[in-house]
Amino acid sequence: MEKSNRVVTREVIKTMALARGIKLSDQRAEALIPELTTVVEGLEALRSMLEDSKLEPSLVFHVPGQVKHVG
Amino acid sequence: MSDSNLAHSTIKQLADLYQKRKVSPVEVVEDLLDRISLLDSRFNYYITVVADEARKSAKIAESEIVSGTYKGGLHGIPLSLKDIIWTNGVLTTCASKVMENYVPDYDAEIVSKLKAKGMFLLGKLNAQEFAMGATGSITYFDIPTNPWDEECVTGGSSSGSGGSIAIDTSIAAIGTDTGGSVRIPAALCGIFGHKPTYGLVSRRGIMALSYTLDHAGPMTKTVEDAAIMLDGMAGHDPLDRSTVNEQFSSFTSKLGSDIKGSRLGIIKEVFEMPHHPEVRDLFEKSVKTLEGLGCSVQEVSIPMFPHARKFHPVISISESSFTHQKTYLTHRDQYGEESQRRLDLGLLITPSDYLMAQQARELLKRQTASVLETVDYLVLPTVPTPAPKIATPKMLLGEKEVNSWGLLATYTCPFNDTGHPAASVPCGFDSNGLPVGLQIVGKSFHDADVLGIAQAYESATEWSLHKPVL
Repeated sequence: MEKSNRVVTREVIKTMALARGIKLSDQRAEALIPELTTVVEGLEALRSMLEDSKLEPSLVFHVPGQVKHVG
Repeated sequence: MSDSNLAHSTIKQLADLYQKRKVSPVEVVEDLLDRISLLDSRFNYYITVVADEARKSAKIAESEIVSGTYKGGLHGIPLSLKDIIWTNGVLTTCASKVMENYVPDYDAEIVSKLKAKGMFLLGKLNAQEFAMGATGSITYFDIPTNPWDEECVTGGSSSGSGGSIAIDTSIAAIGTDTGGSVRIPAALCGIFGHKPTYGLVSRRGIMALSYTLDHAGPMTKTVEDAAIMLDGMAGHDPLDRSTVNEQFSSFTSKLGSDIKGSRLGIIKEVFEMPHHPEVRDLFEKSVKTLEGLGCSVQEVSIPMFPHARKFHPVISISESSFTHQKTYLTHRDQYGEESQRRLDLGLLITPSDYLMAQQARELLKRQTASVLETVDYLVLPTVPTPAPKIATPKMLLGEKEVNSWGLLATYTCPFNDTGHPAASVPCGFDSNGLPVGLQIVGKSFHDADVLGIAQAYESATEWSLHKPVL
Protein backbone atom coordinates (compact mmCIF):
# COMPACT_ATOMS: atom_id res chain seq x y z
CA MET A 1 0.00 0.00 0.00
CA GLU A 2 1.26 3.49 -0.82
CA LYS A 3 1.78 5.66 2.24
CA SER A 4 -0.21 8.88 2.47
CA ASN A 5 1.78 12.09 2.52
CA ARG A 6 -0.97 13.73 4.58
CA VAL A 7 0.21 15.36 7.79
CA VAL A 8 -2.20 14.98 10.72
CA THR A 9 -1.12 17.04 13.70
CA ARG A 10 -2.86 19.14 16.29
CA GLU A 11 -1.75 22.35 14.57
CA VAL A 12 -2.88 21.18 11.13
CA ILE A 13 -6.28 20.25 12.55
CA LYS A 14 -6.66 23.59 14.31
CA THR A 15 -5.70 25.47 11.16
CA MET A 16 -8.08 23.50 8.94
CA ALA A 17 -10.96 24.04 11.36
CA LEU A 18 -10.16 27.73 11.68
CA ALA A 19 -10.23 28.09 7.91
CA ARG A 20 -13.85 26.88 8.14
CA GLY A 21 -14.61 29.34 10.95
CA ILE A 22 -14.33 27.05 14.00
CA LYS A 23 -11.71 27.62 16.68
CA LEU A 24 -10.83 24.28 18.28
CA SER A 25 -9.16 23.92 21.64
CA ASP A 26 -5.85 22.05 21.87
CA GLN A 27 -7.64 19.25 23.67
CA ARG A 28 -10.32 18.98 21.00
CA ALA A 29 -7.79 19.02 18.19
CA GLU A 30 -5.76 16.35 19.94
CA ALA A 31 -8.85 14.15 20.26
CA LEU A 32 -9.47 14.46 16.53
CA ILE A 33 -6.03 13.18 15.54
CA PRO A 34 -6.92 9.47 15.78
CA GLU A 35 -10.31 10.12 14.13
CA LEU A 36 -8.79 11.88 11.14
CA THR A 37 -5.98 9.37 10.95
CA THR A 38 -8.56 6.57 10.69
CA VAL A 39 -10.27 8.40 7.82
CA VAL A 40 -7.03 9.07 5.98
CA GLU A 41 -5.71 5.53 6.46
CA GLY A 42 -9.08 4.04 5.52
CA LEU A 43 -9.13 5.90 2.22
CA GLU A 44 -5.47 5.14 1.63
CA ALA A 45 -6.22 1.45 1.94
CA LEU A 46 -8.64 1.80 -0.98
CA ARG A 47 -6.21 3.60 -3.25
CA SER A 48 -4.69 0.62 -5.01
CA MET A 49 -8.07 -1.07 -5.32
CA LEU A 50 -9.47 2.01 -7.04
CA GLU A 51 -6.48 2.33 -9.32
CA ASP A 52 -6.79 -1.30 -10.37
CA SER A 53 -10.53 -0.98 -10.98
CA LYS A 54 -10.03 1.15 -14.13
CA LEU A 55 -13.33 2.82 -13.26
CA GLU A 56 -14.54 5.20 -15.96
CA PRO A 57 -15.16 8.08 -16.11
CA SER A 58 -12.03 8.29 -14.05
CA LEU A 59 -11.25 10.88 -11.44
CA VAL A 60 -7.71 9.63 -11.48
CA PHE A 61 -5.03 11.18 -13.63
CA HIS A 62 -2.01 9.07 -14.50
CA VAL A 63 1.00 10.10 -16.50
CA PRO A 64 2.40 6.84 -17.86
CA GLY A 65 5.53 5.81 -15.99
CA GLN A 66 4.95 8.24 -13.15
CA VAL A 67 3.59 7.77 -9.65
CA LYS A 68 -0.15 7.21 -9.58
CA HIS A 69 -2.32 9.74 -7.86
CA VAL A 70 -5.93 9.33 -6.76
CA GLY A 71 -8.41 12.02 -5.86
CA MET B 1 -67.55 0.33 21.03
CA SER B 2 -64.49 -0.25 23.12
CA ASP B 3 -61.65 -2.68 22.44
CA SER B 4 -58.75 -2.58 24.82
CA ASN B 5 -56.49 -4.23 22.25
CA LEU B 6 -56.80 -1.69 19.45
CA ALA B 7 -53.28 -0.33 20.03
CA HIS B 8 -51.96 -3.78 19.16
CA SER B 9 -53.58 -3.64 15.73
CA THR B 10 -51.92 -3.38 12.37
CA ILE B 11 -52.88 -0.88 9.70
CA LYS B 12 -54.58 -3.63 7.72
CA GLN B 13 -56.58 -4.88 10.69
CA LEU B 14 -57.82 -1.39 11.51
CA ALA B 15 -58.69 -0.67 7.88
CA ASP B 16 -60.82 -3.83 7.80
CA LEU B 17 -62.52 -2.90 11.07
CA TYR B 18 -63.19 0.66 9.87
CA GLN B 19 -64.74 -0.55 6.65
CA LYS B 20 -67.03 -2.87 8.56
CA ARG B 21 -67.81 0.02 10.94
CA LYS B 22 -66.82 -2.15 13.88
CA VAL B 23 -64.31 0.32 15.27
CA SER B 24 -63.82 4.07 15.06
CA PRO B 25 -60.51 5.94 14.72
CA VAL B 26 -61.59 7.79 17.87
CA GLU B 27 -61.39 4.57 19.88
CA VAL B 28 -58.02 3.72 18.38
CA VAL B 29 -56.60 7.09 19.35
CA GLU B 30 -57.91 6.77 22.91
CA ASP B 31 -56.34 3.33 23.28
CA LEU B 32 -53.03 4.60 21.91
CA LEU B 33 -53.04 7.64 24.20
CA ASP B 34 -53.77 5.40 27.19
CA ARG B 35 -50.92 3.11 26.24
CA ILE B 36 -48.51 6.00 25.67
CA SER B 37 -49.49 7.40 29.05
CA LEU B 38 -48.84 4.00 30.62
CA LEU B 39 -45.54 3.15 28.99
CA ASP B 40 -43.77 6.09 27.40
CA SER B 41 -42.22 7.59 30.53
CA ARG B 42 -40.46 4.23 30.92
CA PHE B 43 -39.18 3.84 27.35
CA ASN B 44 -38.92 7.49 26.17
CA TYR B 45 -40.03 6.93 22.59
CA TYR B 46 -42.14 10.07 22.14
CA ILE B 47 -40.87 13.64 22.22
CA THR B 48 -44.27 15.15 21.43
CA VAL B 49 -47.75 13.63 21.52
CA VAL B 50 -50.44 15.73 19.81
CA ALA B 51 -53.35 14.30 21.77
CA ASP B 52 -55.90 17.03 21.05
CA GLU B 53 -55.04 17.24 17.37
CA ALA B 54 -55.17 13.45 17.05
CA ARG B 55 -58.59 13.33 18.77
CA LYS B 56 -59.95 16.00 16.42
CA SER B 57 -58.52 14.31 13.34
CA ALA B 58 -59.88 10.95 14.45
CA LYS B 59 -63.34 12.46 14.84
CA ILE B 60 -63.17 13.91 11.32
CA ALA B 61 -61.98 10.57 9.93
CA GLU B 62 -64.80 8.79 11.74
CA SER B 63 -67.38 11.16 10.18
CA GLU B 64 -65.89 10.71 6.72
CA ILE B 65 -65.85 6.91 6.97
CA VAL B 66 -69.37 6.76 8.38
CA SER B 67 -70.64 9.07 5.63
CA GLY B 68 -69.17 6.78 3.00
CA THR B 69 -66.19 8.84 1.84
CA TYR B 70 -63.63 6.18 2.64
CA LYS B 71 -60.23 7.10 1.24
CA GLY B 72 -58.61 3.68 1.38
CA GLY B 73 -56.36 1.61 3.61
CA LEU B 74 -54.65 4.50 5.36
CA HIS B 75 -57.80 6.45 6.21
CA GLY B 76 -58.13 7.04 9.93
CA ILE B 77 -54.74 5.50 10.75
CA PRO B 78 -52.68 7.45 13.33
CA LEU B 79 -49.15 8.24 12.14
CA SER B 80 -46.05 8.63 14.30
CA LEU B 81 -43.00 10.34 12.85
CA LYS B 82 -39.33 10.48 13.64
CA ASP B 83 -38.81 13.98 14.97
CA ILE B 84 -36.60 15.10 12.11
CA ILE B 85 -39.64 15.15 9.79
CA TRP B 86 -41.30 18.54 9.44
CA THR B 87 -44.89 18.84 10.66
CA ASN B 88 -46.89 22.00 10.14
CA GLY B 89 -47.54 23.73 13.47
CA VAL B 90 -46.04 20.90 15.53
CA LEU B 91 -42.75 21.02 17.42
CA THR B 92 -39.96 19.38 15.43
CA THR B 93 -36.79 19.14 17.49
CA CYS B 94 -34.45 16.82 15.58
CA ALA B 95 -33.80 15.50 19.13
CA SER B 96 -31.50 18.48 19.63
CA LYS B 97 -31.26 21.48 21.92
CA VAL B 98 -30.51 23.51 18.78
CA MET B 99 -34.08 22.90 17.57
CA GLU B 100 -35.89 22.48 20.89
CA ASN B 101 -38.44 25.20 20.12
CA TYR B 102 -38.69 24.87 16.35
CA VAL B 103 -42.17 24.69 14.86
CA PRO B 104 -42.25 24.28 11.06
CA ASP B 105 -44.88 26.05 8.99
CA TYR B 106 -45.29 23.25 6.49
CA ASP B 107 -45.48 19.48 6.32
CA ALA B 108 -42.80 17.31 4.78
CA GLU B 109 -43.91 16.06 1.36
CA ILE B 110 -44.46 12.51 2.62
CA VAL B 111 -46.58 13.80 5.50
CA SER B 112 -48.73 15.78 3.04
CA LYS B 113 -49.12 12.68 0.90
CA LEU B 114 -50.11 10.46 3.81
CA LYS B 115 -52.53 13.05 5.19
CA ALA B 116 -54.16 13.22 1.77
CA LYS B 117 -54.75 9.47 2.09
CA GLY B 118 -56.48 10.04 5.43
CA MET B 119 -53.70 9.46 7.95
CA PHE B 120 -53.30 11.91 10.79
CA LEU B 121 -50.53 12.76 13.21
CA LEU B 122 -50.31 11.11 16.63
CA GLY B 123 -46.87 12.29 17.68
CA LYS B 124 -43.18 12.86 17.07
CA LEU B 125 -40.64 10.25 18.00
CA ASN B 126 -37.28 10.33 19.68
CA ALA B 127 -34.12 9.79 17.65
CA GLN B 128 -30.38 10.20 17.70
CA GLU B 129 -29.64 13.94 17.59
CA PHE B 130 -29.91 15.09 13.95
CA ALA B 131 -29.91 11.36 13.03
CA MET B 132 -26.13 11.31 13.51
CA GLY B 133 -25.50 7.78 14.75
CA ALA B 134 -26.66 4.19 14.85
CA THR B 135 -27.24 3.50 18.55
CA GLY B 136 -30.23 5.83 18.76
CA SER B 137 -29.41 6.61 22.36
CA ILE B 138 -27.70 9.98 21.98
CA THR B 139 -30.48 12.53 22.15
CA TYR B 140 -31.17 15.86 23.87
CA PHE B 141 -34.18 14.15 25.45
CA ASP B 142 -34.38 11.09 27.70
CA ILE B 143 -32.66 7.97 26.36
CA PRO B 144 -34.93 5.50 24.56
CA THR B 145 -34.37 1.95 25.77
CA ASN B 146 -34.75 -1.38 24.01
CA PRO B 147 -38.17 -2.94 24.67
CA TRP B 148 -36.61 -6.42 24.95
CA ASP B 149 -33.90 -5.39 27.43
CA GLU B 150 -33.95 -1.91 28.88
CA GLU B 151 -30.19 -1.93 29.37
CA CYS B 152 -29.72 -2.16 25.61
CA VAL B 153 -29.95 0.37 22.79
CA THR B 154 -32.91 0.39 20.43
CA GLY B 155 -30.62 0.99 17.51
CA GLY B 156 -30.92 4.16 15.54
CA SER B 157 -31.11 6.67 14.54
CA SER B 158 -34.89 6.08 14.31
CA SER B 159 -34.90 4.79 17.88
CA GLY B 160 -38.34 5.98 18.98
CA SER B 161 -39.88 4.68 15.76
CA GLY B 162 -38.49 1.18 16.28
CA GLY B 163 -39.35 1.00 19.95
CA SER B 164 -42.86 2.44 19.76
CA ILE B 165 -43.92 0.00 17.04
CA ALA B 166 -42.55 -2.88 19.14
CA ILE B 167 -44.54 -1.93 22.26
CA ASP B 168 -47.66 -0.86 20.37
CA THR B 169 -47.62 2.82 21.23
CA SER B 170 -47.62 3.49 17.47
CA ILE B 171 -49.60 1.81 14.71
CA ALA B 172 -47.32 3.04 11.93
CA ALA B 173 -44.14 5.06 11.95
CA ILE B 174 -41.72 6.64 9.52
CA GLY B 175 -38.00 6.62 10.06
CA THR B 176 -35.10 7.83 8.00
CA ASP B 177 -32.11 5.81 6.88
CA THR B 178 -28.71 7.21 5.90
CA GLY B 179 -26.56 4.27 7.01
CA GLY B 180 -29.21 1.88 8.30
CA SER B 181 -31.38 4.01 10.58
CA VAL B 182 -34.65 2.37 9.58
CA ARG B 183 -33.30 -1.18 9.35
CA ILE B 184 -31.07 -1.18 12.45
CA PRO B 185 -33.78 -0.24 14.99
CA ALA B 186 -36.21 -2.50 13.12
CA ALA B 187 -33.83 -5.42 13.64
CA LEU B 188 -32.92 -4.61 17.23
CA CYS B 189 -36.53 -3.95 18.28
CA GLY B 190 -38.01 -6.95 16.42
CA ILE B 191 -40.19 -5.13 13.88
CA PHE B 192 -40.26 -4.64 10.10
CA GLY B 193 -38.49 -1.74 8.38
CA HIS B 194 -38.02 -0.91 4.72
CA LYS B 195 -35.49 1.44 3.15
CA PRO B 196 -36.93 2.20 -0.27
CA THR B 197 -34.87 2.57 -3.41
CA TYR B 198 -33.11 5.95 -3.52
CA GLY B 199 -35.34 8.23 -5.57
CA LEU B 200 -38.63 6.53 -4.75
CA VAL B 201 -39.64 8.65 -1.75
CA SER B 202 -39.25 12.41 -1.36
CA ARG B 203 -37.03 13.77 1.41
CA ARG B 204 -38.34 17.34 1.15
CA GLY B 205 -39.15 18.63 4.60
CA ILE B 206 -36.91 16.13 6.32
CA MET B 207 -33.78 17.31 8.12
CA ALA B 208 -30.95 16.33 5.82
CA LEU B 209 -28.10 14.30 7.21
CA SER B 210 -26.42 13.35 3.96
CA TYR B 211 -28.19 14.35 0.77
CA THR B 212 -26.90 11.53 -1.43
CA LEU B 213 -27.48 8.83 1.21
CA ASP B 214 -30.71 9.88 2.96
CA HIS B 215 -33.86 7.78 2.56
CA ALA B 216 -37.22 7.80 4.38
CA GLY B 217 -39.06 4.55 4.96
CA PRO B 218 -41.92 2.86 6.80
CA MET B 219 -41.45 1.04 10.12
CA THR B 220 -44.34 -1.26 10.86
CA LYS B 221 -45.60 -4.38 12.61
CA THR B 222 -45.95 -6.33 9.38
CA VAL B 223 -44.59 -6.33 5.83
CA GLU B 224 -48.08 -5.74 4.49
CA ASP B 225 -48.42 -2.54 6.52
CA ALA B 226 -45.13 -1.26 5.11
CA ALA B 227 -46.35 -1.93 1.56
CA ILE B 228 -49.58 -0.05 2.28
CA MET B 229 -47.57 2.85 3.73
CA LEU B 230 -45.21 2.90 0.77
CA ASP B 231 -48.18 3.17 -1.59
CA GLY B 232 -49.03 6.39 0.22
CA MET B 233 -45.49 7.77 0.47
CA ALA B 234 -43.81 7.03 -2.84
CA GLY B 235 -43.87 9.26 -5.85
CA HIS B 236 -42.18 12.02 -7.77
CA ASP B 237 -41.62 15.34 -6.03
CA PRO B 238 -40.44 18.09 -8.38
CA LEU B 239 -38.88 19.84 -5.39
CA ASP B 240 -36.75 16.82 -4.46
CA ARG B 241 -34.71 16.35 -7.60
CA SER B 242 -33.55 12.90 -6.48
CA THR B 243 -37.04 11.46 -6.98
CA VAL B 244 -37.84 9.70 -10.25
CA ASN B 245 -40.83 10.66 -12.34
CA GLU B 246 -42.25 7.21 -13.01
CA GLN B 247 -45.44 5.37 -12.22
CA PHE B 248 -45.17 2.26 -10.06
CA SER B 249 -47.75 -0.44 -9.53
CA SER B 250 -48.94 -0.94 -5.97
CA PHE B 251 -46.24 -2.05 -3.54
CA THR B 252 -48.74 -4.61 -2.26
CA SER B 253 -48.83 -6.26 -5.69
CA LYS B 254 -46.31 -9.00 -4.89
CA LEU B 255 -47.62 -9.84 -1.41
CA GLY B 256 -48.75 -13.41 -1.22
CA SER B 257 -47.09 -14.35 -4.48
CA ASP B 258 -45.07 -17.53 -4.89
CA ILE B 259 -41.34 -16.94 -4.38
CA LYS B 260 -40.39 -20.38 -5.67
CA GLY B 261 -37.45 -20.14 -8.04
CA SER B 262 -36.16 -16.86 -6.61
CA ARG B 263 -32.36 -16.73 -6.67
CA LEU B 264 -30.72 -15.57 -3.45
CA GLY B 265 -27.14 -14.38 -3.21
CA ILE B 266 -25.13 -14.66 -0.01
CA ILE B 267 -22.27 -12.17 -0.03
CA LYS B 268 -19.16 -14.12 0.93
CA GLU B 269 -17.44 -11.05 2.39
CA VAL B 270 -20.21 -10.61 5.00
CA PHE B 271 -18.95 -13.28 7.38
CA GLU B 272 -15.33 -12.29 6.83
CA MET B 273 -16.30 -9.15 8.75
CA PRO B 274 -16.77 -9.09 12.55
CA HIS B 275 -20.08 -10.66 13.57
CA HIS B 276 -21.74 -12.40 16.49
CA PRO B 277 -21.93 -16.19 16.06
CA GLU B 278 -25.56 -16.34 17.18
CA VAL B 279 -26.51 -13.80 14.51
CA ARG B 280 -24.86 -16.00 11.91
CA ASP B 281 -26.69 -19.09 13.19
CA LEU B 282 -30.05 -17.36 13.02
CA PHE B 283 -29.25 -16.03 9.54
CA GLU B 284 -28.35 -19.51 8.29
CA LYS B 285 -31.61 -20.88 9.68
CA SER B 286 -33.55 -18.15 7.90
CA VAL B 287 -31.82 -19.01 4.62
CA LYS B 288 -32.89 -22.62 5.11
CA THR B 289 -36.46 -21.42 5.57
CA LEU B 290 -36.23 -19.49 2.30
CA GLU B 291 -34.78 -22.56 0.58
CA GLY B 292 -37.74 -24.49 1.95
CA LEU B 293 -39.98 -21.98 0.18
CA GLY B 294 -38.32 -22.85 -3.12
CA CYS B 295 -35.53 -20.27 -3.34
CA SER B 296 -32.12 -21.24 -4.65
CA VAL B 297 -29.02 -19.96 -2.90
CA GLN B 298 -25.60 -19.16 -4.28
CA GLU B 299 -22.51 -17.44 -2.95
CA VAL B 300 -21.62 -14.13 -4.56
CA SER B 301 -18.74 -11.73 -4.09
CA ILE B 302 -18.84 -7.96 -3.70
CA PRO B 303 -15.20 -7.10 -2.94
CA MET B 304 -15.98 -3.49 -2.01
CA PHE B 305 -18.67 -4.47 0.52
CA PRO B 306 -16.39 -4.58 3.59
CA HIS B 307 -14.77 -1.30 2.57
CA ALA B 308 -17.98 0.72 2.73
CA ARG B 309 -17.27 1.33 6.42
CA LYS B 310 -14.15 3.22 5.35
CA PHE B 311 -15.66 5.49 2.70
CA HIS B 312 -19.33 5.74 3.73
CA PRO B 313 -18.58 7.89 6.82
CA VAL B 314 -16.44 10.22 4.71
CA ILE B 315 -19.41 10.95 2.43
CA SER B 316 -21.90 11.13 5.27
CA ILE B 317 -19.80 13.38 7.49
CA SER B 318 -18.79 15.69 4.62
CA GLU B 319 -22.37 16.17 3.50
CA SER B 320 -23.72 16.71 7.01
CA SER B 321 -20.91 19.17 7.69
CA PHE B 322 -22.08 21.13 4.65
CA THR B 323 -25.72 21.01 5.78
CA HIS B 324 -24.90 22.25 9.27
CA GLN B 325 -22.11 24.68 8.43
CA LYS B 326 -24.00 27.93 9.07
CA THR B 327 -25.86 26.80 12.18
CA TYR B 328 -22.79 25.07 13.57
CA LEU B 329 -20.81 28.31 13.44
CA THR B 330 -23.33 30.08 15.65
CA HIS B 331 -24.75 27.27 17.81
CA ARG B 332 -21.88 24.83 18.23
CA ASP B 333 -22.21 24.70 22.00
CA GLN B 334 -25.81 23.56 21.73
CA TYR B 335 -24.94 20.45 19.73
CA GLY B 336 -24.40 17.26 21.72
CA GLU B 337 -20.91 15.84 22.13
CA GLU B 338 -21.32 13.12 19.48
CA SER B 339 -22.72 15.56 16.90
CA GLN B 340 -19.85 17.95 17.64
CA ARG B 341 -17.35 15.15 17.13
CA ARG B 342 -18.80 14.34 13.72
CA LEU B 343 -19.15 17.93 12.59
CA ASP B 344 -15.65 18.83 13.76
CA LEU B 345 -14.33 15.88 11.80
CA GLY B 346 -16.29 17.15 8.81
CA LEU B 347 -14.25 20.34 8.92
CA LEU B 348 -11.12 18.31 8.24
CA ILE B 349 -12.22 16.20 5.28
CA THR B 350 -10.85 17.57 2.03
CA PRO B 351 -12.48 17.62 -1.43
CA SER B 352 -9.98 14.93 -2.44
CA ASP B 353 -11.14 12.71 0.43
CA TYR B 354 -14.75 13.21 -0.57
CA LEU B 355 -14.14 12.48 -4.25
CA MET B 356 -12.10 9.42 -3.45
CA ALA B 357 -14.90 8.15 -1.23
CA GLN B 358 -17.39 8.78 -4.03
CA GLN B 359 -15.14 6.91 -6.44
CA ALA B 360 -15.05 3.95 -4.05
CA ARG B 361 -18.83 4.19 -3.73
CA GLU B 362 -19.19 4.05 -7.51
CA LEU B 363 -17.14 0.87 -7.57
CA LEU B 364 -19.39 -0.68 -4.90
CA LYS B 365 -22.46 0.36 -6.89
CA ARG B 366 -21.19 -1.29 -10.04
CA GLN B 367 -20.15 -4.48 -8.27
CA THR B 368 -23.51 -4.73 -6.50
CA ALA B 369 -25.51 -4.04 -9.68
CA SER B 370 -23.44 -6.66 -11.50
CA VAL B 371 -24.16 -9.28 -8.82
CA LEU B 372 -27.86 -8.42 -8.94
CA GLU B 373 -27.85 -9.42 -12.60
CA THR B 374 -27.03 -12.99 -11.52
CA VAL B 375 -29.34 -13.24 -8.49
CA ASP B 376 -32.72 -11.71 -7.64
CA TYR B 377 -31.98 -10.78 -4.04
CA LEU B 378 -29.12 -10.47 -1.62
CA VAL B 379 -29.73 -11.80 1.88
CA LEU B 380 -27.62 -11.06 4.93
CA PRO B 381 -28.10 -10.20 8.58
CA THR B 382 -29.30 -6.64 9.14
CA VAL B 383 -26.91 -6.01 12.03
CA PRO B 384 -23.84 -8.15 12.85
CA THR B 385 -24.64 -8.22 16.57
CA PRO B 386 -27.70 -8.28 18.82
CA ALA B 387 -28.52 -4.98 20.54
CA PRO B 388 -25.48 -3.66 22.44
CA LYS B 389 -25.67 -2.19 25.92
CA ILE B 390 -26.36 1.51 26.36
CA ALA B 391 -23.65 1.82 28.99
CA THR B 392 -20.76 0.34 27.03
CA PRO B 393 -19.94 -0.48 23.44
CA LYS B 394 -17.79 -3.40 24.50
CA MET B 395 -19.08 -6.78 23.35
CA LEU B 396 -17.50 -10.20 23.09
CA LEU B 397 -17.58 -11.81 19.65
CA GLY B 398 -16.35 -15.27 20.47
CA GLU B 399 -13.20 -14.51 22.44
CA LYS B 400 -12.57 -11.12 20.88
CA GLU B 401 -13.80 -7.91 22.48
CA VAL B 402 -15.07 -5.35 19.96
CA ASN B 403 -16.67 -1.90 19.86
CA SER B 404 -20.15 -3.07 18.97
CA TRP B 405 -21.51 0.46 18.41
CA GLY B 406 -19.07 0.85 15.57
CA LEU B 407 -20.31 -2.36 13.94
CA LEU B 408 -24.02 -1.56 13.89
CA ALA B 409 -24.16 -0.11 10.37
CA THR B 410 -21.54 -2.25 8.65
CA TYR B 411 -24.11 -4.50 6.91
CA THR B 412 -26.63 -1.76 6.17
CA CYS B 413 -24.65 1.29 5.01
CA PRO B 414 -23.45 -0.30 1.74
CA PHE B 415 -27.05 -0.20 0.46
CA ASN B 416 -27.35 3.50 1.25
CA ASP B 417 -24.28 3.89 -0.93
CA THR B 418 -25.80 1.85 -3.75
CA GLY B 419 -29.40 3.03 -3.26
CA HIS B 420 -30.90 -0.46 -3.59
CA PRO B 421 -34.12 -1.27 -1.71
CA ALA B 422 -33.40 -3.10 1.54
CA ALA B 423 -35.73 -4.40 4.21
CA SER B 424 -35.26 -5.89 7.68
CA VAL B 425 -37.64 -8.62 8.82
CA PRO B 426 -37.47 -10.34 12.23
CA CYS B 427 -35.68 -13.71 12.00
CA GLY B 428 -35.36 -14.95 15.56
CA PHE B 429 -33.94 -14.26 18.99
CA ASP B 430 -30.52 -14.78 20.51
CA SER B 431 -29.93 -16.68 23.74
CA ASN B 432 -30.60 -13.49 25.74
CA GLY B 433 -33.98 -13.01 24.11
CA LEU B 434 -32.87 -10.13 21.87
CA PRO B 435 -34.34 -9.96 18.36
CA VAL B 436 -32.28 -10.34 15.20
CA GLY B 437 -33.15 -9.13 11.70
CA LEU B 438 -32.80 -10.65 8.25
CA GLN B 439 -31.93 -8.09 5.58
CA ILE B 440 -33.28 -8.59 2.07
CA VAL B 441 -31.94 -6.42 -0.75
CA GLY B 442 -33.40 -6.21 -4.23
CA LYS B 443 -32.85 -4.55 -7.57
CA SER B 444 -33.40 -0.82 -7.81
CA PHE B 445 -37.10 0.11 -7.92
CA HIS B 446 -38.08 -3.52 -7.32
CA ASP B 447 -39.32 -2.62 -3.86
CA ALA B 448 -42.53 -4.58 -4.41
CA ASP B 449 -40.46 -7.73 -4.99
CA VAL B 450 -38.45 -7.15 -1.80
CA LEU B 451 -41.68 -6.73 0.14
CA GLY B 452 -43.09 -9.84 -1.52
CA ILE B 453 -40.25 -12.12 -0.45
CA ALA B 454 -40.07 -10.49 2.98
CA GLN B 455 -43.74 -11.26 3.50
CA ALA B 456 -43.29 -14.84 2.30
CA TYR B 457 -40.57 -15.26 4.94
CA GLU B 458 -42.65 -13.50 7.59
CA SER B 459 -45.62 -15.79 6.85
CA ALA B 460 -43.47 -18.91 7.02
CA THR B 461 -42.20 -18.02 10.49
CA GLU B 462 -43.71 -16.60 13.66
CA TRP B 463 -40.98 -14.16 14.62
CA SER B 464 -43.06 -11.08 13.83
CA LEU B 465 -45.77 -12.22 16.23
CA HIS B 466 -43.47 -12.13 19.26
CA LYS B 467 -43.95 -9.17 21.59
CA PRO B 468 -41.74 -7.98 24.43
CA VAL B 469 -43.01 -8.77 27.91
CA LEU B 470 -43.48 -5.37 29.53
